[in-house]
Amino acid sequence: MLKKLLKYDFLSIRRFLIPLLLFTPVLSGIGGFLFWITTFMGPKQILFSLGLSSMIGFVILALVLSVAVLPIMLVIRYYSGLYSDSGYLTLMLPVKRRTMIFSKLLCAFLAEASYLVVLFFSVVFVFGGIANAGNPFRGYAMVLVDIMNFISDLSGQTALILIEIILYVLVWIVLQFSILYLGVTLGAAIFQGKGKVWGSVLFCFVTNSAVSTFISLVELAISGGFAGLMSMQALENGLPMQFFLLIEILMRIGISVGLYFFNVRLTEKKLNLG
Amino acid sequence: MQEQPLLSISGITKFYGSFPSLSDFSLTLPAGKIVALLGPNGSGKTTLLKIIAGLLSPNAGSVSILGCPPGEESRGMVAYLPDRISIPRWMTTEQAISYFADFFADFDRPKAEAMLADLGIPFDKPLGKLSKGMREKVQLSLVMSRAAKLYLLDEPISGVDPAAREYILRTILTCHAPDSTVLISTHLIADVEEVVDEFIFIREGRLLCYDSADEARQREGKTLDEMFREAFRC
Repeated sequence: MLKKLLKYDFLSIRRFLIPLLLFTPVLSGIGGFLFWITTFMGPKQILFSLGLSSMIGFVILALVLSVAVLPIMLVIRYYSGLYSDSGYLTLMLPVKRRTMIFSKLLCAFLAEASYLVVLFFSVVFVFGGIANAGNPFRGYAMVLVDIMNFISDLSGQTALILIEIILYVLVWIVLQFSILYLGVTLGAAIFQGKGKVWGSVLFCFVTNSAVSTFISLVELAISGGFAGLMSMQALENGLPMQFFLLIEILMRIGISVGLYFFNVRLTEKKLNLG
Repeated sequence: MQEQPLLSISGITKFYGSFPSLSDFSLTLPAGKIVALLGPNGSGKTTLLKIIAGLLSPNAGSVSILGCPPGEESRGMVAYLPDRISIPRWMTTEQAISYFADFFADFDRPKAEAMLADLGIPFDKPLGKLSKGMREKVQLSLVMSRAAKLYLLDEPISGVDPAAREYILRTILTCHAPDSTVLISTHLIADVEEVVDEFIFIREGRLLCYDSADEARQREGKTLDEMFREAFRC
C-alpha cells in the first residue's frame, strides 16, 4: 500500500518538483555565465558592469528563494491532500493513517533530499565551473579534479565527519517535515472557515520555528552538560564534536518519530473536514 | 438467529462549538435497501454521513458497519460520495480510475470505463479542465463502480441537469449490489420518490421518522414530497 501511496504522492508533486529541479541548474548556469563575463571579459563600461552585477545579485537571490519554495509547496500539498476537498477521497482510502502520513513524509524527504543534491551540484559544479576559469570547459575540469582530490584525500576521520554531516542534513530534513506536517494538522484543527487554508499553512511555519528553537535550546543544554562532564583531555582530542553530532542526530531522529506518531494520533482523532 | 444489521448508529451526538448538529441520534439500517435521508438545510444530514464514513468523530455515541467501527476496515466496505468534488484537479480521468482500482479491492474498472464512456467523459484530460457537471459525473461513476456494502451519497443530484439526474438515479438503481444499502441525502425529493425503499426525516439533528416509503404513502395517501412539506413547513 505504501508503494501505491508514494506513487500518487509523487504524481501530485511532480508538477512543481520537476520544474524546480530543472530551474536550479539553469539558474546556476546563467549566474555562472554572468560572473564569467564580469571576471574574464576585459575592461567594460561602468553601467554595463553595474547591470551585470545586479543581474548576478538577482540570480543569487532567486537561488536562495528557490530553497524556500519546495517546503512551502510540499506543505500546501500536504494540506490540500488531507484537509481540502481532496481529503474526502484521501481519508476514505482503506489505508492506515500512519501509512498515509508516512508516505507523505517519505515523499517530502526524497523530494527535498534530491533538491538539495541538485542545488549542491548546481552551485558547486555548474556555477563554479563556468565562473572560475577563462575557459568554462577548463572550469568544469578544474571542479571535477577538485572533487576527485577531495575524495582521494579523505582520511578515516574526515570521512566519518563527512558521513555524519550528510546524515545530519538528512535527519534535519525529516525533522523539519515532521514539524511542518504536525503544524498543518494542528492548524487545520484550530482554524475554521475561510482562514483555514492560510491559517494552517502559516501556523505550521510558526510551529516549526517554535519547536526548532526548543530543540536547539535542549541540545545546547545537553551539550553544555556533557562538556561539563568531559575531561579537558577529551575536549582537546576533538572527540566531543563527533560525539555531540551523533547525540544530536539520535535525538532528532527520536523527536521526529515522536512528532510523527503525535501527528498520526491527531489526524485519527481530530479530523476537521468542513 | 437474528441477522446483523448493516448499519447501526447508537445515540450519537455531535457538537460544532456549542451548536449541536446531531443529538442522541440512533438508527439501524438493514442490507439491500435504498434509503432517502431527508431534512431541511442544517438538519445534520451531511454531519451524519461524515460520521458514518469516519470523517468526523462524534462527541458521544457509536457507529458500526457490519460490526466494525468507522476505520480502515469499514472504509473498505463504504463508498462515500461527498457533496463536493474530492478527486484532485490534477488527475486525469484515467489516473482517477487507476487510483480507485489501486486502493479499492471492490472497484470494477471495466464498469467504470463503460459508464464514463457512456457519459462522453474524455479520459486523457485533467479533471481541472472538465466542467463541474462532468467532474461530478466522474466522481459518481467511480463511487458507484465499487461493489461496496454501504453507499453514502450526499446530494448526488443537486448540481446536475435533469437529463444527467435521470442517468445518475438509474445508475444508483442498477449499480448497487442486491445486498448493499444506499443512503442518499437530497433536497430533490420528487426526483428520488420512485427510487427509494425507505426514508428518514431528520430535524435539528434528531430522528423524526424512519419508515418504509410504500407503507407511508399507502397509510397517509400522500407522496413523500407532500409528507416532507407537511413535516417541515416553515
